[in-house]
Amino acid sequence: MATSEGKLTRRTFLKATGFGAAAAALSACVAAAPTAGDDAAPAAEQIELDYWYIWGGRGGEGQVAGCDLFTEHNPNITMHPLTAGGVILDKTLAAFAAGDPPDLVDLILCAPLAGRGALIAVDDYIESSTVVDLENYQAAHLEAVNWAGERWGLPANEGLGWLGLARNRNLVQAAGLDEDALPADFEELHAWAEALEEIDDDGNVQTLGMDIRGILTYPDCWSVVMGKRYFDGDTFEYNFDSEEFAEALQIAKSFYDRVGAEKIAEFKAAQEGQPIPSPAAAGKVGLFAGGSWTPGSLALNAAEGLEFGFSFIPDGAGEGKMPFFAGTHTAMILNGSDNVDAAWQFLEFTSTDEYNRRVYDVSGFIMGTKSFIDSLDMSTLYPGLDFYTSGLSEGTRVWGIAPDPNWYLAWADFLSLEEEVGFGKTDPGEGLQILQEKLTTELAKVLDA
Amino acid sequence: MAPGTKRFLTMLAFISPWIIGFLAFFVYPLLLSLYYSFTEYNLLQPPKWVGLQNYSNLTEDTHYQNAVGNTVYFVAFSVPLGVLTAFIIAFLLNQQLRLRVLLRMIFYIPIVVPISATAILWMWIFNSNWGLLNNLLALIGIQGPSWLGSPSWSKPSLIIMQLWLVGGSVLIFLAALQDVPRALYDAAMVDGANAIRRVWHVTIPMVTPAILFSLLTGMIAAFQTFANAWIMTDGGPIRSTEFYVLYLYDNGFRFFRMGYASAMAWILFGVVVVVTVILFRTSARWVYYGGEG
Repeated sequence: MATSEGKLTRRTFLKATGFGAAAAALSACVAAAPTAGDDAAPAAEQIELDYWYIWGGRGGEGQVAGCDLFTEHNPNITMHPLTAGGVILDKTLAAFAAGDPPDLVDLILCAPLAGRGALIAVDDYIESSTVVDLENYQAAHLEAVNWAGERWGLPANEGLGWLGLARNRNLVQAAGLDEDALPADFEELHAWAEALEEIDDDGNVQTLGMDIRGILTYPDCWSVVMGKRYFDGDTFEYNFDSEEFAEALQIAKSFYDRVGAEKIAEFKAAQEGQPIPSPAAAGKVGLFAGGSWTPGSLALNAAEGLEFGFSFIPDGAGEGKMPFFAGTHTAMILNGSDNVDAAWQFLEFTSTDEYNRRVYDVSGFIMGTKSFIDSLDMSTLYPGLDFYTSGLSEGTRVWGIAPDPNWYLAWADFLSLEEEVGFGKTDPGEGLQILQEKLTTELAKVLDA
Repeated sequence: MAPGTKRFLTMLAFISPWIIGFLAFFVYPLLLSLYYSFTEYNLLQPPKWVGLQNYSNLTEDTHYQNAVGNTVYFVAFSVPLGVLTAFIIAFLLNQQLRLRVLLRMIFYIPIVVPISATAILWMWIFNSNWGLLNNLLALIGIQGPSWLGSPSWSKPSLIIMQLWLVGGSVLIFLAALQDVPRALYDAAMVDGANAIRRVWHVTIPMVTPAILFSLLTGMIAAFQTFANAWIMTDGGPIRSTEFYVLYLYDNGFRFFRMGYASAMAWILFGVVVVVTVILFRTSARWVYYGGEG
């Protein structure tokens, strides 16, 4: 077949493509040409850190602002903050498995990653630090960074109290309930729920007296309420097969039974997608459990004219104590980071009031370090927020999150079990026994590895 | 170099980007997941060989059995209903209707809407208090259920929603319907067949290849259903919408059990292969390809 001189043949095309690709590959291998500044004294090495967290929106902006402030202080470190969203754990695991994890990540607790060898222990860093003062953290918050006797990160972001009984004061007053005599046990809570409940002639819930779900579905919350830790981080034992947890599920079920689990599900489903983002904020729930974000969320979102009060959840152990769950987020350094020292610098910086102030100014997140809480005038912030700071000192049973390497599994399965028991599909004792065995098996794998 | 070899190498050079992608992003992960299914693997530490333990553990896992039950229910109802709905819509769109092109487009639009948007839209439609569906039911005096809040109605809700996404099958059926020779209808009419008999004895046999295709692709997709349940119900209430792949995903990426999840994936693969083979084997009895004797 004749080809004219000017025509591109297939062979020529393939050759050109091959040479082009080879040239591109080689050029990528060539060292950068020296620049004018290379003769001068070596500048500090430019370091880049990837930092992942869950929040988008204002929360994410707060993290970006905190990172920018850190870079202002450390110009040789560039932060790459990333909103990983609700699938942050999934993304982190995938990135780790692929050999390219972020340097830092912010999760609820350290144990799941620490127990599986994915984190850098920071005890030595803390000891030699002139910035980090462990006394400045709430003792309960520090539980979130523990695993097997070592610390694997620092509490950072949104650390206050995560368990309070919120009450709709308008409904409470309309029902003639005495706010000076708040429910002290679950029997009294039932009495309050009954007084606040409104059921129509068809049996449909118009106002729910007490919503037993919410933050209470965390096994850590039931732990502190019942006075029994679901996981003991010292002995590495689960306690779901205890009387206390069987009792906890019975208590939860008793609130489902008040009006029927299906009716509650229907009531909640019917509220979804309304302009006001939750039945509690719409004034359709009398009592509910919520964390430190609840006062701000209600102040911003609740129907006009509604007022809310906050108090301790009753003591399920019958000891007359005031149970308080001190939750927090924690920042940690991933094993595999190329810049562990720089990552620690950032971690260290998150302990400063300056950092927490910047994050707070942008996002409203309050970190529960003692000095930072003292620097805020809680009474001028959202109504009721002060309960979540005073609770840290006034609570008489203040616990943090369990250093459980299977925390995500424990949470998901306990949540599901509570629902199954509430719907009458599962016997509490039987379900808890299965959960206990499942978690014990998973824990053995972690300890064996 | 022999011309045949040269041609082969040239062909390889041209398709090499696809081959490399296929090997790197499909075959390699596929084989790796088979290996992982025999290991204890949490994505953070090296996998540890445990033989068939993951597979045997599945037999005792009540949540797994629940997920299997949910998925079989979903496949058993959503696939035949989907095929039937798609056929009926295609049949109607194949008539001499005004605005036929517009209607075809309308039925196809849901396919190009992102699944997350679709899921949120249907959460509104299913809202028991002010959702469109219950309001329509109220017009005829029926009090609609709590579609997504009730364990009894949650799976049927997701099946109903799935019917909204039959646009792809509708197009396939439309193409098949337009391929039915006019002469067959004429002959049937000469023989005295009424409209129903013409559909039953002419149309349906002639579109059986499309029915087989829709059944197969629908079945494979239904076994892998994930996003709707993940977004709309997260498996609830009381695990009533926890489908196979949702449970698999949770095990792999939330509970640090990628080995277990891999075993689940391979069992699903095996089941899909078996069902596909059965469908193919039985298809000789009921699928008619034009030109056959």
